[in-house]
Amino acid sequence: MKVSGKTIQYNSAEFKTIFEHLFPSMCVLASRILKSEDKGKDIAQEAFVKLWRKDTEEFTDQKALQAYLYVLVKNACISELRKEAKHKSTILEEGLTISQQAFLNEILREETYKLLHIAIKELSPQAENVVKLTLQGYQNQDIANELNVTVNTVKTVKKRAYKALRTKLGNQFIAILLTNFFDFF
Amino acid sequence: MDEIKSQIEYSELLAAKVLGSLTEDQKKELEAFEKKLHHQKLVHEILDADAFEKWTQKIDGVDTEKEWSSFLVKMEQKPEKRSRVVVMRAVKWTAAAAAIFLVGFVLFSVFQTSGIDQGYESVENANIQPGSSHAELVLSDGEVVDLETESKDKISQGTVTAENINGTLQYSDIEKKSAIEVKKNTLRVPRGAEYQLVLSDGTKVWLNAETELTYPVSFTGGKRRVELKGEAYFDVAPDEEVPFVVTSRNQEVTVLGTEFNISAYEADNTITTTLVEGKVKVNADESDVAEYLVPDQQVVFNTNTAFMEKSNVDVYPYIAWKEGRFVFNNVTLEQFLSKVARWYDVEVIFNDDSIKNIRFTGDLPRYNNMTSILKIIETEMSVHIQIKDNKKVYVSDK
Repeated sequence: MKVSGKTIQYNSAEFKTIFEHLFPSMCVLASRILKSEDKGKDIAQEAFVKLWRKDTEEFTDQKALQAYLYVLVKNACISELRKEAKHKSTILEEGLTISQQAFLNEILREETYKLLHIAIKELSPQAENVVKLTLQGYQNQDIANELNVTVNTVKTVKKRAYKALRTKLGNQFIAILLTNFFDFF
Repeated sequence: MDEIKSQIEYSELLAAKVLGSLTEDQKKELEAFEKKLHHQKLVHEILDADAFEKWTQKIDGVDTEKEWSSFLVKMEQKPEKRSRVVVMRAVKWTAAAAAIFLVGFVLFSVFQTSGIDQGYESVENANIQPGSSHAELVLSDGEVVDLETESKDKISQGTVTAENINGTLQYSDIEKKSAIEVKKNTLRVPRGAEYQLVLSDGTKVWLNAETELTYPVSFTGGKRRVELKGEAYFDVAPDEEVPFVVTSRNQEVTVLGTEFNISAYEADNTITTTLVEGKVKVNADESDVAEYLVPDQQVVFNTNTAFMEKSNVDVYPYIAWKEGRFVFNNVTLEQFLSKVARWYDVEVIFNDDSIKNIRFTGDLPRYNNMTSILKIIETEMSVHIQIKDNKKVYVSDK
């Protein structure tokens, strides 16, 4: 397989990094749709195996690879839902499938959480608290009051978390890929 | 695909929003995104502490190390796929990449040798199942749909629907020849499989193992054009005004309504077109030189020289695959086994070159276990056959 013009073997350290980065969210996403963690795991595994059976096996960048995996996961989820429906002998076509929009929404959720998760993991428990309070709808001033620090500290913690996220993703992938995966940052 | 990519990009904006690090431009981009239908609600649902907490628990529950190990195990169970990948690379790569290829090749050889400690099996003990009905459909946006005999799928693309029933994919267009942009689909049949297809004009196509057909979901314009790699039998729906054209590499076959077989595997340097009914024209692309075929005639086209050789043939051996038989009339053992290998998805290795050219004539069923066929070859042709992992067939002189 080639990503960004670089050849990768399935059993290489490079692919392991990609796997570690992408497998958990594919698994969680499929589990959420199928409401079963075992099935989610199977589908994510199957998607990674299928990825290597793709004939063209060239991806312009990691996002393209990620998008392709999501398509594999989506298709596998749909066939699984249909299979389940057959057993239950449902006739309704609705509910057997997941719409493209619903699936896209799940991807947005998955990717956003993944980034926040990385940002938190890299930093102190304080950063985790700041992120969690922000998600609870707290403004910077409220967070400062809650944690007994100044507003500027809150802002700095956020900026540091963001910077850490950028660096982390940058280091992880620049090493592997010739073009920067997260060149957006 | 592009939609998914843009979702990944929006997730970066959302993360930056939470971390108070949006630039002015990004802020505007995200605002525009949130203005779209339902998006505000969606963003609100995603940026929620409880939902995030739940997700964190789930993600921490995934044992990535363990999953990585089982992934490696799964990949190693499919060694034939790996070999195929390496071969394709060899073709694709230019001289500049030769060094990298060498590394890949060495890795590959290491895997190959490490597997050899398992023994060989005689024909009697082997169990090689025949091919089955399955294929992959590639939609115009790159989405891939797995097709299997037992699955019933209905795929809509514009006014065209494709229905998958009992190993046949059938297209139908509600508005005949809708003049809007034409979407192309590709039906991909792997080794060890076959599939049937009915195009939107009613043309029936039988696709043999390791075959790819690319076609518009609905035909517009003055010609019905499709592109073939591998082997297929066509029963073209008659339409005097709109010729049906099959392109295989640099050969074109033009027909009005007829039945014929084309074998155009990339591994061969010839393309064989065999006519059963009607009339077809065969020519090299960008060439005025053409051969016209009448029933029971065949053209063998050399893809290197564009030279065409026409002959009268018994068509049955060339189309028997579609009737569930292997029929061979005075072919070499090498030619015979290469056909059979595609259907049983095995690799054939000749230990002695001398036996490659033994001639063979026969009529055998296609849906049996491979063992019965190999037994016949072993006794009839005085060769010795050994099988490894039900995937590799070694043929040597007795």
